[in-house]
Amino acid sequence: MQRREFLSLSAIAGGGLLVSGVLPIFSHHISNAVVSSNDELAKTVELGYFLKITPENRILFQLTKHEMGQSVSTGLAMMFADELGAEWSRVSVEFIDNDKRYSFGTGGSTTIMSLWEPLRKVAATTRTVLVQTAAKKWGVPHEECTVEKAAVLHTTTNKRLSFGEIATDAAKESLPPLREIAASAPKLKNANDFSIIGTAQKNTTSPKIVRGELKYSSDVYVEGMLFAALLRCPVYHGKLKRFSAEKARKFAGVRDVLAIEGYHGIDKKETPLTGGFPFVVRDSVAVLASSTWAAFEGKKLLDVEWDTEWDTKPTDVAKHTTQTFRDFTRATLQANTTPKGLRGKPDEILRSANSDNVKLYEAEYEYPYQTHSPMETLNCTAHFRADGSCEVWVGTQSPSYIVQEITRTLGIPSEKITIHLFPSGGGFGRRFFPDYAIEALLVSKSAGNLPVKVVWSREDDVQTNHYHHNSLALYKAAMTEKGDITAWQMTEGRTYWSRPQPSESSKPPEKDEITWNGYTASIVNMRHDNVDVQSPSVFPSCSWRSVIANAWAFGQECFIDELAHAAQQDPYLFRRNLLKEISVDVGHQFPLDNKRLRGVLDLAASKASWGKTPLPKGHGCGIAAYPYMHGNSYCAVVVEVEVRGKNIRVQRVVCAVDCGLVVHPDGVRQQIEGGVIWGLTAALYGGLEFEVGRILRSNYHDNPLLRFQECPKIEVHFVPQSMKKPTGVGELSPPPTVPALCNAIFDATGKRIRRLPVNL
Amino acid sequence: MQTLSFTLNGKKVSIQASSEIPLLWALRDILHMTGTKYGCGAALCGACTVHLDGGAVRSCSTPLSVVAGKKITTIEGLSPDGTHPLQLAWIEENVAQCGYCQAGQIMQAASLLKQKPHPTDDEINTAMSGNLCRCGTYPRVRKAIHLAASGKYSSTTKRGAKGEKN
Repeated sequence: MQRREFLSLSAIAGGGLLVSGVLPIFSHHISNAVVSSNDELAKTVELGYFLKITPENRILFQLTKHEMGQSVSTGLAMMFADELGAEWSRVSVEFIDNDKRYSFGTGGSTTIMSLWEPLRKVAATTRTVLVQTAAKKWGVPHEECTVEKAAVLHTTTNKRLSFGEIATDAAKESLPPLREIAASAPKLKNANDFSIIGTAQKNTTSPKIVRGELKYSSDVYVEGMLFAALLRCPVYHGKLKRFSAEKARKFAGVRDVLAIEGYHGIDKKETPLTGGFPFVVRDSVAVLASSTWAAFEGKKLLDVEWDTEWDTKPTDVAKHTTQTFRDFTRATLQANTTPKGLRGKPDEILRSANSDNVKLYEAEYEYPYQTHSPMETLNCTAHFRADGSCEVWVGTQSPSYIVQEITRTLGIPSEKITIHLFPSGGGFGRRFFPDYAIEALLVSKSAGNLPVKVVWSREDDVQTNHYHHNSLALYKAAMTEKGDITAWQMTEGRTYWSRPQPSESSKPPEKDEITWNGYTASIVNMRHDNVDVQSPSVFPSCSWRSVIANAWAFGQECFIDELAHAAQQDPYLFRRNLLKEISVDVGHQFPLDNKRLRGVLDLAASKASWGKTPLPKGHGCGIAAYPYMHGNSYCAVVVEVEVRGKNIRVQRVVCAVDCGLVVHPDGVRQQIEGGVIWGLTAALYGGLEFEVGRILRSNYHDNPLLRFQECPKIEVHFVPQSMKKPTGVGELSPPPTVPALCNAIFDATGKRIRRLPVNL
Repeated sequence: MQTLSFTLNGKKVSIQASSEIPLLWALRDILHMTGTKYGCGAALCGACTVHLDGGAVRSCSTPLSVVAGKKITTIEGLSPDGTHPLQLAWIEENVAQCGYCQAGQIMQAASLLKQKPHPTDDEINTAMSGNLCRCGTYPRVRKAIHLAASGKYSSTTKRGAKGEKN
C-alpha cells in the first residue's frame, strides 16, 4: 500500500476541530526490521487523530503510541500542547481505540525523540490555522495576532478568541500540502519560550489508575465470551502428542477443551535485522470456561503427553540444562569465529601478550535468560468470526505486526481486522511480539468462532514464554604494567539479535559492530565476534528492556573494572582516561559521543562523592557508565552496597543521565528509578535454571522481583542540557546498574561476579 | 453453585457461584469490577489486595465462602470520589508507571494507615513487603504514604461514605 503524506482538518459533529494525518518520520532500525517487507511503512507513519478542540476549549490529545508505564501519554501531550500554545490544565489524553496502522511500533526508547519534530510541526501548523481563522474573523492581518493560553490574541486591540470559539471555523480552512509544511514549516518555538516542556507535571494516567478505572486489555468483557486458559508445551520445539480432558470437563464451569496447534513465526536463520523477529506459538490444550478461575482449575486436571523429541535427542544434549547449554555455547565460542567488528591488529597483540611488559587478561561473563514478568500477564481477547473477519482486544507495542501476522497466517485481509488497543500493565519489549494475539484467534476459531479471552497465568508467564536472550561472552585484553590497554577482544554467543555471519550473508554487515564501547576511542586494536546460538537455544528469546545493552554493559564495565584494579588505578579515573572526548563509530546509526559518556561518568562520581568518604567495613562502591544507542542517551551509575556474609544490601544508587533536552523531567526520573530496580532484580534474582528444556521456576516465590524493603535510596541527576532535542530514556539505566552493583560487591568483598544472578 | 451474599463497597451483592471461587475472579469475571488485578494467583504479589472487614487480604487466595456475609472494599470503593489521601498523594508524587499493581499497593497502604496513621519507614517496609511492582515504583510509594500520613489532604477528603468507615 502506497502511503501519502497528509495532514487534514475536519469538523467534529456538534462543533469543534479535528486534526489528523500521516507524517514522515525518521526511520529506526527496530521498526525497519519489522516492516522491512514494506519500505514505505518505514518512512511514514500515520499518527492518527492528533487532536480535538471542542467548543468548550477542551483540548483532547490522542495518543498514537503504546502506553505501558513509560509515561509517553504525558510527554507527547506536553510537547504538543506547548507548541500549540495551550494551557496544560485544558489538555487531556485519550487512548485511541481501533488502530492497526497508526503506530507500527513502540520500543527502543525512541517515542519522544522520534516524534519531537513531527508532532511539534503538526501543532505549529494547527496553531497557524487557528491564528489565521481568528484574524479573518476580526479582519486584521494575522501577523498582528499571537497565541496565549489556548486563545488567539490580537495584540493591538487586545481582542481575544479562545481556540474553542474558533475551532469549528478553523475546520473549514485548507492546509498546504505536507511537503510544503515540512519544508517551509511554521516556525517552531524557541526553547526559551517553552512553557510546558521541561516543567514538572503530573502523569495524565494517574487519576484513573488510583481509582482503579484505567482499563487494560485484561479488563475487557465481550458479550458471550468464554474465558480460556492454555496448557502450553513446556519445551520450545515440542509438539502435542495426546491429551485426555475427562476430568477437566467435569469441573463446574468448564465448557470445552481443545487442542491448539502452534507454529513458528518468522524463524529464518537470518531473521534479525533482515526480515523480522522470530517468535513461537506453542502447541497447547485450551480449557474454555465460564470464568478465568474455572479455566485455570480445569487446566490443572488435564492429562497431556508431549512429544519433546527435538529436545531429548542425545545429540541435543547441549539443550538439556543450564550447565550443558553454557558448555555448548562456550565450546562454540572457542572454535574459530569470524569478527563482526575489527579495528587495528588485536590478534597479533593478544597472541604475543604475556611477553615483554604486556600481560594478557581473560574473563568469561554470562548474562542469562530472564523473564519480563509484567505485572499484567499476557492476555488477549479475540473473536474470529465465521464470516472471515476478526476483532482483537489487546495491549501491544506493535499493532501493525499483529495485523501483518494475522494476514500472513490466518489469511484475513487488513480491512477485515479490527484491533482495539489498551494500555499495558508493563510491556518491556515482550508485548512487541504478536504471538499471544494470534494464539487467542486460533482458540476463538477452534471454539466455533466464539469470542474468547485468553489470560496467561503467572506460571505460564514464567515457564512457556519468550525471554531475555542468554549471552555468554569471553573477554580478552592485553595491558601494559602502566595500565595502557593495547588490545581488546570480546567474543559473544547470544540467543537473539544475532547478525548473520558475513560468510552466510550475501553482503557484509553495513558497519563494524564493536558493541557500544566508548573505550574504542583509546583502545585502537579491537575485535568483536558474535556467534548466533539462537537456533540451538533452549527457549525463544525476544526483546527485553535494554536488549543487547544488558549483557554488553555487564561484561564490559566489569572487565574494565578488573583491568583498573590490575593496573592499581582508581576505576573511575581509569575509565575517564580512556574516554577521549570524541565521537566513535560503533556500528550504530548514531555515533557514540564520548563527551556525553564522560559527562555522565563525571557527574555520577561527583554526586556520589566518589573516593571522598571512607566506607564502613563490609561496604563497597562500584561505578559503571554505558550508553543506550537506540535512544542515543548516556547514563552512569554509582552503587553502594553492604555485604554481610551472603547477604547483599544495596544502600544507595546515584544515577547521572544525559538524555538531551528533558521534556517531562519527573517522567524521566521515574524511568531511571524503575530501570535501576529492574537492573537490581536481574542481577540479584534473575536467570532461569532449566533441565531437559524445562524451566525450573514458576511464580514469584522462586522467580523473585526486588521487594519494597530491599529498595535502595535512588538519586537521579541530569547533565545540563547537552542537546537541543530529547533522546531516549526507557532503557537507559538497567545496563550500567548491573555492573555498578557487581563492581561494588567486588569492592566490598574482593569477589568478582561474572555470572548472574549474583551468588556469593 | 450456590447463592453467596456479601457487602461490596457499601452495597449488598448476591451472586450465583461456586463457594470455592476466589473473590478476585468473582469480582472480575462475574461482577465485572475490574479495578482489582490478577498478578500471581498465589498471594505472592499483592496486586489483588482488597479489604475484608477493613483489613487487607489477597483476593486471589480468599474463596467466596470466606467472604459470605462480610464487608469487602475494593479500590473502586476506597473513597466516594477518588479523593482518599493516598489517592491524592499517589497523583502528587507521580507514583504509578504502568499502574497495574497500584490498586493493590493503595489498598495495602490504606490498611496500614488505618492501623498506624503515622507509620515509620520500618512499619511501611513491613506492611508493603508483599506488594510487588515490576516498574519499580517503591521509592515513590514510600513518599506517597508519608505524604498521605502528613495530614495535607485530610480536611479536603470525604472518606468512607461509599466504602468502609475509617
